[in-house]
Amino acid sequence: MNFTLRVWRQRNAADPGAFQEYQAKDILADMSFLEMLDEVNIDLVHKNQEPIAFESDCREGICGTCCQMIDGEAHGPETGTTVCQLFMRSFKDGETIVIEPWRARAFPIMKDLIVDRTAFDDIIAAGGFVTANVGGAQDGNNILIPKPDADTAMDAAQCIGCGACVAACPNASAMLFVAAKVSHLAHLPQGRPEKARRALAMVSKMDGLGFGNCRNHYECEAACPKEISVAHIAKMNREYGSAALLSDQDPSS
Amino acid sequence: MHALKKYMASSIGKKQMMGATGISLYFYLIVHLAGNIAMLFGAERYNKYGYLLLHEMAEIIVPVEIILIFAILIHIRLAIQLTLENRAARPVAYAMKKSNQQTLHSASMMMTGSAILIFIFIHVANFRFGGAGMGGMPIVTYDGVAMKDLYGTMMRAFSQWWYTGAYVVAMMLIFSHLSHGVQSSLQSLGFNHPKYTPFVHFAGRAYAILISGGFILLAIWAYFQHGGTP
Ligand code: FES
Repeated sequence: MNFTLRVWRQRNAADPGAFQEYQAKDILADMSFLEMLDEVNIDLVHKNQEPIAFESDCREGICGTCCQMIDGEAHGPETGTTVCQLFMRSFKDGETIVIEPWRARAFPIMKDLIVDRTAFDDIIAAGGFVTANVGGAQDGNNILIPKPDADTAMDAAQCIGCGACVAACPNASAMLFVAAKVSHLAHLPQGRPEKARRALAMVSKMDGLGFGNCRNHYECEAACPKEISVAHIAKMNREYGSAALLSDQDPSS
Repeated sequence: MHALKKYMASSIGKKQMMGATGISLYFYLIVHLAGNIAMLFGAERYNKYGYLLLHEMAEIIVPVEIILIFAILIHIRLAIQLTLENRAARPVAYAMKKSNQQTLHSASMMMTGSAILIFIFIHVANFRFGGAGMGGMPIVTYDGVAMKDLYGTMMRAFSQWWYTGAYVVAMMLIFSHLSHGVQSSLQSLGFNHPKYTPFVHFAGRAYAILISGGFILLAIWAYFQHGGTP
């Protein structure tokens, strides 16, 4: 298969950046999108040109580093998948593919397709954890957790922090990411005692980092490679509302 | 109080205020629509209904109006603030961006909302404040009580095809705004439940159709009265 790629090239954060066209030739249908880019990069290196900078780590859909906006969709046209798990058979031979980085004030572009997602780490560091030191792994049923709660918590815990929710949101809001962690821990007995403090701290951090406001378009849910539901956002809205208005915790804490 | 202020300044506090004010406004619309049905029973019945609201029930109606004005002001202020913040959150736009869940209704809330605001100004001037902009309202007397001829004023206004047409357009904008607004307000306030949410999405749309459709039918009915008093 052959493709024409229109790729965003940007030398560094200060560079204005622009699109450049590349040809991807003799690509196998079963190559992943990243392997296709690897081929293009090998070609560029042979021609003594700067390869396209993009991120990847696990290449099996679990780490969330392979962030690319492909043809206007976060992680490309398939649902519930990351770029590394997107295969070239999803595209038509001869197609032109547009590749852009995530665009959000809170995710500054570092180079080409690589953005800085430290903002997500900052939100987790603000409260996305349980403060008790729980020691080693316990016996499975030491703490009894109803199966539906465990399932809901697991659905939320699937978040890999890739930032597709922010990238796809028309308002660059991080609500789905934050909601996934707030909801995950609020559903479990280990996380419940600190849920008020956690919701307040994480939302306040998110607000301070320059993400936009959720307006319930639900683009995040459609883009999420782990298909995390916006029901978790409603859960966070409840948690935050009751924490801010009814708990003894201060909203800025 | 300090905590309350911080809540209202937070992203979730803002969207919950947006939702709560929205609920009060769309709940008001169903009361308004129910009241308007009185027009089907003729001039005397409708004019007396208007008189009842503004005179005998003023102790209830005026506070309600003040609450609605506050709700509208808060709704507008938040809409402007959220729009500006959201624009700032993505300073460089995508060259290519597809939408998978966003609807025309959800994407145009600011536009439909602004147009509805203009409609509210005209509508309130025309019918709440004695026919302002329409040459005032004549006085009619029933059983020795003098009152404004709201019915006649309305019939004259709606006998003009362009007035009825513009009104229908305004109601369609309200339909669009509520189509997204009803379910959005509930989601913002944290109401999302596997059993009820699919129904809420359907019911939100149905409510939007009921409100706008109800007002449109009454307007078209009024148009076909040709300004006459039956
Ligand atoms: S590289 Fe790890 S999710 Fe794609």
